[in-house]
Amino acid sequence: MSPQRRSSRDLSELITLVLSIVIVAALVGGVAFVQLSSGDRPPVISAGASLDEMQRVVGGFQLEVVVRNDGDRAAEAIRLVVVQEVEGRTSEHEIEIDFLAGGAVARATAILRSDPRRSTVRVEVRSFQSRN
Amino acid sequence: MAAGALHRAQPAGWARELDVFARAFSGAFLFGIPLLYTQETWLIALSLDAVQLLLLLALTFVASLALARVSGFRNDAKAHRFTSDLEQAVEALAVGAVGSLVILVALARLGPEDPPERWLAMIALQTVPLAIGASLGNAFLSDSGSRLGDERGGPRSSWRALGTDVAATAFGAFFLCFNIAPTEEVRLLAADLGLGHLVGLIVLGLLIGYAIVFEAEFVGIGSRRAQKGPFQQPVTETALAYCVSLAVAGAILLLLGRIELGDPLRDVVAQTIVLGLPATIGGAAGRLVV
Repeated sequence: MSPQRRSSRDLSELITLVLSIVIVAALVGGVAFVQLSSGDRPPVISAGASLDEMQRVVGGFQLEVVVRNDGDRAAEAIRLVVVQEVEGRTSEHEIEIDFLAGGAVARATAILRSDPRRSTVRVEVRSFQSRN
Repeated sequence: MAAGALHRAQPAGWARELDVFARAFSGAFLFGIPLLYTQETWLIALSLDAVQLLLLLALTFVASLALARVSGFRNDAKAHRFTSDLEQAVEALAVGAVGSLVILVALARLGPEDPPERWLAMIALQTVPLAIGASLGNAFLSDSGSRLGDERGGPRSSWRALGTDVAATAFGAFFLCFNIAPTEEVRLLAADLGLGHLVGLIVLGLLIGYAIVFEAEFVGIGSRRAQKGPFQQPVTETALAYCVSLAVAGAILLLLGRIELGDPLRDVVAQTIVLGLPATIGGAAGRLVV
């Protein structure tokens, strides 16, 4: 093998090795940085619904519910209730979310029978389990 | 045909590195694709703390180092020296990280709205099976695995080769698909994916299928390159194999009742494309085995 070809082979191998080291260092460094910089706060779950995202469907109204975990730890088995009050009558619609990581946002949909724009709608977080 | 004509000249430089990493990524996807399609592994990544993830990566590095000793994905003269094994272990981790990044983005498990912690955790966990698969690159599909090994002294007729390829693709796709099709993940992924992701999955399936069969320098590549006929060219064979894999994926979904004839076309197509990626990988492995 000529010295020029040998050098070209070595260079390509060297570059792929250096790239691999950079990728692995970035992954390990990133995971370590997250550990050092993040806290250990328990889950802080909040939920809300936006009437702008409401859609009329056959038999009711689809209302998107946005659930947010502002804590550091993950939450499991989050139980939400969408409470709708129409002319003094209250109806409840349950939503359950299996898992929500710390800092994550999840979206769910409640099906309401009455138009949410002509009623009072609120979303309540009833319970959840903290992971770890 | 002379034996030399069945084998590509030993590549050097960047061509060799392309072969080497094609073999590493192929091994990674062959080994790791079922776990990439498992909801529990997505979720558990988010519940592990950084120390647990770093320990898993450290264990994976040790396992990759040991596997580089017995298999690895490089097969040059320097292979199996300790420094070479060390380098391969690092490269296997990098292959695992890049492979999981690509698949998780393609499957919309990671997106621009996700926080960096989620990206790091999910990539770090999925790196584990993919890095081990990469380290087994040379061990996959060795000559001893083929019943037709002795018959491959020369090219088969184009129609016989086509029939064998279609059957092998279908069996390989069936084998890998059957591990994934009954799970809820296919429906879940199909419901989440938009047009861009579905097109991305098709492109990825074609690229991975081509890489496994024609770039990774696994067993039988010499005789495969020597085959003549309209469907034995790399591009046409890859496209045909992808269509066969999609057909197998769709048939399995139908047989298992995951899709029905009256279902919305969008849902049927999306589920078939989602399952089409592992089907293509299985199909490519199937063609190498026979």
